[in-house]
Amino acid sequence: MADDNKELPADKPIAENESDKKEEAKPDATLAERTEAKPEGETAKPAPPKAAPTGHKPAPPAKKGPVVTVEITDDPLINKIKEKFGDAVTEAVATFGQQIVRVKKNSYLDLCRFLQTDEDALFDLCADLTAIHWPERKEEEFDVVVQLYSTQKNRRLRIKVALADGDACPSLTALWSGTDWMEREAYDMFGIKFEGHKDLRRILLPEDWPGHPLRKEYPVEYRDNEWTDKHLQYREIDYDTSLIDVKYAERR
Amino acid sequence: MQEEITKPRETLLDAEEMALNMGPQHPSTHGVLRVLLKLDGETVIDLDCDIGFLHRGVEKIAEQDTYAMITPYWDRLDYVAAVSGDLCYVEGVEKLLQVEVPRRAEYLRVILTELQRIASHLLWLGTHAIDIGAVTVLLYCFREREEILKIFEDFIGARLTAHAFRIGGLWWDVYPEFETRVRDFLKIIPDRITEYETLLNTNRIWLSRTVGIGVLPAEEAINLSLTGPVLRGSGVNYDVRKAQPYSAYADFDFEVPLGENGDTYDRYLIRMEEMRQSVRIIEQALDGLPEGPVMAKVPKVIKPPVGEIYHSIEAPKGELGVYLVSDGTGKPYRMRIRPPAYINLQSLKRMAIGHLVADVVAIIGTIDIVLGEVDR
Repeated sequence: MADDNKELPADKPIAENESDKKEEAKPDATLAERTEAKPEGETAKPAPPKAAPTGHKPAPPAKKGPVVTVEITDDPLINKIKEKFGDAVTEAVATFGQQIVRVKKNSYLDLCRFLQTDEDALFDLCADLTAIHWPERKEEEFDVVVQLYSTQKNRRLRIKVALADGDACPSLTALWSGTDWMEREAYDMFGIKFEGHKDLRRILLPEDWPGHPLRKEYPVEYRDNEWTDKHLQYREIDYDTSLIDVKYAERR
Repeated sequence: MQEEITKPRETLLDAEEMALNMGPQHPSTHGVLRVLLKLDGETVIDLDCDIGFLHRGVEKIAEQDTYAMITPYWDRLDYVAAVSGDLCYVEGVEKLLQVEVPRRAEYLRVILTELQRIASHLLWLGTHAIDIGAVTVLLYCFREREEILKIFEDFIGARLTAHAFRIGGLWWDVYPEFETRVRDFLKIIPDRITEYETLLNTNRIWLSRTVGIGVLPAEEAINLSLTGPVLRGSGVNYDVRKAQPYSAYADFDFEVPLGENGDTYDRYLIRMEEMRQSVRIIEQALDGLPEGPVMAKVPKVIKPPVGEIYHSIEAPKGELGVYLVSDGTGKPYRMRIRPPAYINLQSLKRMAIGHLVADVVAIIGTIDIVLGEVDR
């Protein structure tokens, strides 16, 4: 990940030029977006290529890239949510026109219940639930991300809640039974515990698998000989675990 | 002896619960799905799915790869509908990059994905029927599916993992005979669909194996996050192509078939009708196929701006979504796949309890799973 930006340095100016052209050639980016975004773009420094995400959006726009995240100001439902939950809603933005509401953990379940039952919202289908690991963010290393959809209003909304490593997240299984396996997968891949989930087991990986693969610190090149010895009685190669962090090419 | 007969029935017959292990190598599980059944006689009283045998960690792999390198992995998720998987991913990245895809490319994408939908439904129909005991249908279905695969092979070079789309459009324009060959196929397929229906619609065995099996009321289907034909079988009108049109779907006129009873038979009828609607869409797309380039101007090194996107399409199995988080570098910070088969498979437990063991096979078939997508 670290040397992403160093690859093909000759191509870089071309890429930038192209994106510049693209921006000019796209008059259909809404006027409101542009006007609203402008002051931000002036004050905010260009983002370093691999900036540690701060967790407080709107994030600084990427270098010369179009501004994609704007504050939502004129949406009746979002206003209603802001009114009802007050400080618990820490952010309500639209990225590429998709609405995102970030809520504090304590109000997460209440907000979801409100969104499911309130007649202006009626988000009856929970399309997806997943998590993101941000190791650089202190005390809020994980984001649980919920994609909601309303079959009656035909609209989508994304809910985010930040968690510290080891924090339990309230389970949504009581509201949407479809979140059962999604939460189990998030537990399997990130180790996030869901409070109130009746059957929180690993789902894709074996019960006694060590670690949670989608955490950023989990190595890509990794072979667990102990596990294979125990379950498969088969060892493909003898593997020195001290080499876990060494890149494949170097190890060769 | 006398004493024994006067005993109440429960103690006379030893009604023990039995655990039955089905799979992971069972042919009707369509891959490596292991189902643990708890039975009372032949009735299912509880079940648990054991999945993950095919887990390859695609989401983790994606974090190490550039945006263009990830596309082929999407062919291999739902490998019987590879083109649909590609469409979902490339459109997600295009949204992130804010690239406008040429109209011709969008139309060709629609044609290919709808052909893929027919191919996927044909495979589903054949395997579903063979699971229930109607062996003949499989051979007919494969005959027509072969035609589609040949069209793919001549265009893309691959039959199964057809990697047709690139970020920004298509890699090549179609070959000259493409249109005639697709039209030839469209001429035969409606009659063939009728032929399958002749074999099944009024077949007594088919009816007794599907009608009233695995009934799901609409509210429950929504609450279970089901999408695709499984949701529409319960009468919920949610098709991403209509609800939130992507690609060029807004240009075409087609209907979304809906079921009434939410049982296995309704879901069968819906998929049959969906194939006919796909034919309609392809015909319209061929008629209105614009001229022009098939590839947009896309930077060589794809570096989307900092941001995130959720994009979903109507894959043959349901809503296939991608959630991409970009940190401004050339590789996604996080890529989440919203797999329709994985989420729909949850409903197996809800649908199968109370039915017989043999019906579990029918219900697995009606959900239409592909384990490559379930396990990722």
